[in-house]
Amino acid sequence: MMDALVWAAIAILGVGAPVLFLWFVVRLRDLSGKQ
Amino acid sequence: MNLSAIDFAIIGGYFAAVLGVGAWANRRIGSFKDFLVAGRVLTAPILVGTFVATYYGLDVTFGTPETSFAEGISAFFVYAAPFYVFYLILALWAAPRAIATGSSTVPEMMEHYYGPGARLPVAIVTSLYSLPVLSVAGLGVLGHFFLGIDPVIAAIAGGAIAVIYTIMGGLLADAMTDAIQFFIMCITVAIAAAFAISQIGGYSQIMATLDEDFFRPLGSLSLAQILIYSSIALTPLVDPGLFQRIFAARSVADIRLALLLSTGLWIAFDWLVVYFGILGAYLVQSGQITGDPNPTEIVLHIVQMVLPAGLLGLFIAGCLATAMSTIDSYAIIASSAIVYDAMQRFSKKKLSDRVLLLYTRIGIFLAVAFSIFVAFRFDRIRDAWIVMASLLMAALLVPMVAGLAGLGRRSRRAGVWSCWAGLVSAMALIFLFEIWGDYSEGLATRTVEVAALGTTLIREQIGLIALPVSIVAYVAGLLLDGGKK
Repeated sequence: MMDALVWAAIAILGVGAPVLFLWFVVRLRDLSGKQ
Repeated sequence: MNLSAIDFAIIGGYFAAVLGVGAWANRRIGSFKDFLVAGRVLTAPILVGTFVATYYGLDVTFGTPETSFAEGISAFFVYAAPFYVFYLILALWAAPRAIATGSSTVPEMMEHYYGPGARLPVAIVTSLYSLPVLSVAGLGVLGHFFLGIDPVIAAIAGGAIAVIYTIMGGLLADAMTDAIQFFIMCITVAIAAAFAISQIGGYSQIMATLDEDFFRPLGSLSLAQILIYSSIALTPLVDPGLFQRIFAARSVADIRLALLLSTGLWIAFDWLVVYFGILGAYLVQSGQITGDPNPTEIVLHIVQMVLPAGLLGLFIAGCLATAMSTIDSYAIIASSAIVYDAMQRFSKKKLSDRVLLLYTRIGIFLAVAFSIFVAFRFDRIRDAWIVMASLLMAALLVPMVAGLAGLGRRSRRAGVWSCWAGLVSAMALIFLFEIWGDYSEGLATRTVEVAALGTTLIREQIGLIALPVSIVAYVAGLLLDGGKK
């Protein structure tokens, strides 16, 4: 169980961070300040 | 220890990337508000990166395993888990109320609630809390472990790079570099954990070797100790770094989504760094790590064992990212609290944007320099954090939560007095522990014997002693104002 949680945490960071980073790149134009 | 050429190349690439972003953001700084709150254009994806990267520094990457190495899984359930509740309260309750005040900084928000008298004490405590002491200490640990250089030199070198890009690009550079740093820090911890569990083993293997106390969720702590340690989890409700991002957000919906996603990532991050500490204890007990390692460096021993060349460099870049993303953000706040919230507010002549920017940039440099000066005075990374969190909570928790709850308008004195009372009493206690306290190896903290009361105080109790003083001052102010403004 606790090992499964370690793997789950690895998946959250390992997959979540790249996905969020891509979202950030796609939305970079937000920083131009236009609403 | 020897790093390979590819490791150095990756670390060099990381430095080039953050300095490049600083230069890019520099061209977009038109006014002081652009510098301080990035023109209020931050949306959810940018906020997630900046929340996660800023709020989690090397105090978590090195400090949490340091705790779980000694105390086991309670490092997660007692020290880390209570925070998640307050992240949610921040997202759902405090953030919309803070935005509604139209403020740019925490001292400005407190002035909104309690009048100009509240601004100075809040600016002082915000600035002191925001000194990036822990992360520069972490850079020292990193440089010493991997390059064998003096920790102070390593802290100066890493701190200098963070200062350069922050001075250039302000919060925009900070938020942009945070996104890169967020990505690197999450990925590297995930990779290191995957290698560690595959090559060394998971809990199923460790549990047979270590004492079963290590795996009790509440450890061997008493209820009073659990309350003391977990009370620190209230800090998100008053943390100026989190609030600066809230003020810089485009909308409440962006903040809520970002804080919910961040909380999920923080839980995963905590679970993995706690695992590293327990794995370290197992490796020491089973003789695979010898020579009485420094608990602060236990994570580094593990990654050195499991990661190949290239990935080791990436992990070091991840640690640099973790530290520098916290240093830059809090250095901006430490500086702007003094320049924007104190100097500008109380000077007779309004300071121009150019002067504000210049002073804030000088302040960023001074904040990091001063942090390096005090960083190496603490016995453990977590000790420094407890002192700073106690100071923040003692001074800000009562007036800020009361203000957010809509009670602020009822008494100006209450807010101003409670803030000063918490600040002064916490500072007095910090000096008391520094001057008359002793470090207790058994309790792993600084203690002061109070003969008159026949008791021994531990440093973790500073907040719990100063907080009631702040509450009493708040009630006294409220009574004196008779409930009127």
